[in-house]
Amino acid sequence: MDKFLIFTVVGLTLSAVYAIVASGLVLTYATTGIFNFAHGAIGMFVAFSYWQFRFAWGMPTPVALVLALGVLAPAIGLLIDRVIMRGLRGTSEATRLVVSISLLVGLIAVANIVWEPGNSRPFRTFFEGKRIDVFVTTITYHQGITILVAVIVAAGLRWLLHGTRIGVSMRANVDDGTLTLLNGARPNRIAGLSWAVGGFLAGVGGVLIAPTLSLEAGSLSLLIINAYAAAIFGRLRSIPLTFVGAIVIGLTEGYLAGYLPGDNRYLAAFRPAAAVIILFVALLLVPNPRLRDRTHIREYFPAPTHSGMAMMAGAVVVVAVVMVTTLDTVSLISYGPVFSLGIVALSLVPLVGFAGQISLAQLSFGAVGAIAVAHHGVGGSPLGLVLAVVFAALVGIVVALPVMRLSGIYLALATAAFAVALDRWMFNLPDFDIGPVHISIFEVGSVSVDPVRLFGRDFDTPGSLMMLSAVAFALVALLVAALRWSRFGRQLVAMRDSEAACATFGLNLLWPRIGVFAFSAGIAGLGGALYAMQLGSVAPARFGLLNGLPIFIVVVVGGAGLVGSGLFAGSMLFGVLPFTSGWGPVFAKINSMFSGLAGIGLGRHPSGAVPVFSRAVSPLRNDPVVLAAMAVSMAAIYALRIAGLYSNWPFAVLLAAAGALAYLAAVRRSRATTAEEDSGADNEHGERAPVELEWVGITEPWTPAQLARIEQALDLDSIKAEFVKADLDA
Amino acid sequence: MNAEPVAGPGSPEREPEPGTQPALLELRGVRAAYEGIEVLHGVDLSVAPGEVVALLGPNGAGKSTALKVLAGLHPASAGDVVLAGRRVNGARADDLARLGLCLIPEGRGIFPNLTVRDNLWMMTHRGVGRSEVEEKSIAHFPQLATLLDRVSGTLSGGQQQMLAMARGLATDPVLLVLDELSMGLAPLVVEGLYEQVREVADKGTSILLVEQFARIVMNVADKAALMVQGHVIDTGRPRDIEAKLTQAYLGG
Repeated sequence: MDKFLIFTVVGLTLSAVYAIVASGLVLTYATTGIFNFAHGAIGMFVAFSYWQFRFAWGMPTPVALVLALGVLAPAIGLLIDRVIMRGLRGTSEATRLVVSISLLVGLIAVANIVWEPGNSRPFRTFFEGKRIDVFVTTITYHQGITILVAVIVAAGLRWLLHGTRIGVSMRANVDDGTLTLLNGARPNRIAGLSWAVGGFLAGVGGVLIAPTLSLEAGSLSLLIINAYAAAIFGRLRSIPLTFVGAIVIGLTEGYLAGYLPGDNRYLAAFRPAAAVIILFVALLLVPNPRLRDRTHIREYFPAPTHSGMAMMAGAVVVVAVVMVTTLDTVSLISYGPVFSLGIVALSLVPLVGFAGQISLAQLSFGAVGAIAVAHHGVGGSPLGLVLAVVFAALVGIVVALPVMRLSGIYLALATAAFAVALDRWMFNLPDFDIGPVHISIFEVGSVSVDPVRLFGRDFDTPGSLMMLSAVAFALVALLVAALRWSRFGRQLVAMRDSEAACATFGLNLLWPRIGVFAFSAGIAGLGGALYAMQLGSVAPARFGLLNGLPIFIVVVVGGAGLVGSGLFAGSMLFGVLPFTSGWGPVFAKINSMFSGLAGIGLGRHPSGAVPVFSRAVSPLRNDPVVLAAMAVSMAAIYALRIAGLYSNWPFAVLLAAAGALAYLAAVRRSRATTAEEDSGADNEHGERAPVELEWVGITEPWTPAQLARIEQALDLDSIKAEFVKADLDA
Repeated sequence: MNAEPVAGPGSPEREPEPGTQPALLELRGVRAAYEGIEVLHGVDLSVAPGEVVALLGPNGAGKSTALKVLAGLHPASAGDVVLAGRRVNGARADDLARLGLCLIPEGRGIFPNLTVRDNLWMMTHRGVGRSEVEEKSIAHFPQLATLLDRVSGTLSGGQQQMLAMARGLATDPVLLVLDELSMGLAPLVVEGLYEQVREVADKGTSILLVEQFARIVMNVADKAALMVQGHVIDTGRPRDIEAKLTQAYLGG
């Protein structure tokens, strides 16, 4: 009985923290429509700051508390609202999601810069060591304070939302933002207040939970994911239900801590994953059955062209050849993931870009591929790679089935929960048997991976593995493009644009969804397997949720619907960033914030960075003469490098110079030709170059020629004839 | 706001004479577009102090867009919106609301998840006290007294529209703008609501009404404007405009 009470108190303390954090999340989501993935990260940041004030600088507790919770936490909330979120009104849910995920990644990066990870930071509880007897059990002051604070928060929120006019305005804003305006309420003040209160509540939660955990940016930010489960209980709207959810989750964790047999290796890891599993289940119970209507999409992604894809695949292989022949082994190892994790990035294109689904678990599918190739690719058997794809695809289906009716933030949360559950629990399981099948995962540690043997050749050097990955990348890129050209690809895009319209066309949404999840997971599995081969030995930590988020962000920033964004993400994250980080610690620090900053900037260019880039290089792409000259000169520069005339630095500079010269030449030539064409066209037909067809008649008037073309296309003449005939008959 | 009408409250039979008194609200050549597609092609419209103007026109003529522009909910791409002598293009909707421009939007202009009492509380942003809003609303619609603690989304359609109307009646607006008051309501309820509009108008409040069902407003309005395809094509006495409605609605 005693034990039961003790763990009840432990559970209730956790519940209190979750309730505080989750109610802040619900408040900001409900009033501003932005689900703040970085909510936990704000709590983390405030907890770190409090530690700095209280323990590193030795301020008295009240002063440190006022500074951290009274000033810093609301200020962070206000700053996020003012600088980032206000620009996001009217953007798609996916864009907002990426921005807040980027904020999470960015805040962790900043915290890791300010507070170097690895140092021990003792964080004492409030009134350490003091206890109080309550009825039949004793609780610590810290536990008592935590529970008390939750009660005060509940009462305070109740008062704010029902007892003040601005609180009523917050709730009114949820119902109808326009009408709130028409009543004369100040929308910016409403949003600002709810972000400030949200930041404050995240901070309170962070400060209360940090002493019972180690002060580590990543795990502290993610631990508060448990609070998200509570928020889902409240359907992201109801604060009372959120408190109920928090109590359920906190008590579950408390009792698991008390009663789960600690010596059972299968269940030991289950406890930290329990909340995430509850989150996953809670998400499945969320009523969200309405098919998405055509959402207002600012993003537009054209289908890839045949020539563009051929050029990209060729360029990938050529670049890989150049890298393999010029770089030393150390560089080859450090740039290895450009293509292997690039494939994982590529796997997001069909899923996120074409189908409009969201998966934050892509790197976990990669981990499944790594596990498969570790166990089935022994001795270089190619079967390992095949099974990596198959197993990852199967796991993809397993994820897709339950989450099928979810979309937007719910889907993002469900896949994140899945990734964390794998990371915290499944990947830490020892071997087990299901009937006759022996299942082996990471064998509680790391597994070694043998390089594959294909076409009678061992891919056992970093160079050959990079070549293999590059060829695989090129082939997968072509496959993804082929998918986009196919009927299935058109179904996916249609589904993205409007599920409701697809349903009315009689399209079954079940198979495209499952299919695209399986397809994309299979690709990720291949990427993970190649990555594992490059590493030689892999541990689950490589495939955690936080490692996967930058890939997701950069693909979306690149332009999720474009095959090129897979290459963009791979080369940015694993090529350009490590390269420039080598220039010095300042660059490394800036780079660690790259994906966060890039994602936050997405609000401005919702169609991504790749179109901007490819529009810029289009004069070069469309100029065969200059292109050929550039290729020849680059080949010559490369030949001289191979001949050993100079080292890598001059080589890189020369390549860059050749590229820049070619670009300038192409731009000049294209200007000259457009000017010529313009004057020519005006003389010939008296009409300018054709505008985009859908804008004819809207941005400029119809020409008689266009009208004639439309009438011909619609076969209006025959219809007119029919009418005339019908008239005559009558 | 002391924009007392020069010629006293408008009488139904008064001939509107542009230029004789400064307009309370004036739209001059207002253009507006949705995503580059223009829907208002230069709208001219004026409401004199104390006047009740009905803006009529078929579906899709741009009536609601015109209201959105004048209430600050949608930007005008060209032209001027002048309220009480001040050019208010680009003013924010919340500022205009505080100045006394009271737009009751089409549909139910209420917050369905809030109680009636909280809905009334939301109306106090204009600067009228909370108890005053409640008293005046109940004076106009006695039914509301018994409904104060009901969640307003559970009220009947007519009750919801009364609650929405209460903002126009209790907050002392300078200009009351009613968008499709009759939408989805039973004819008897609509009659009751327009009685209240009549009452407010008699007190000298300027009112701009938008209705698709033109006949309802004929007895209330001093002046009618006919809008077709993004233009106000005719303005005049309601009876004169009525004669032209059929052609405007059915094309010709």
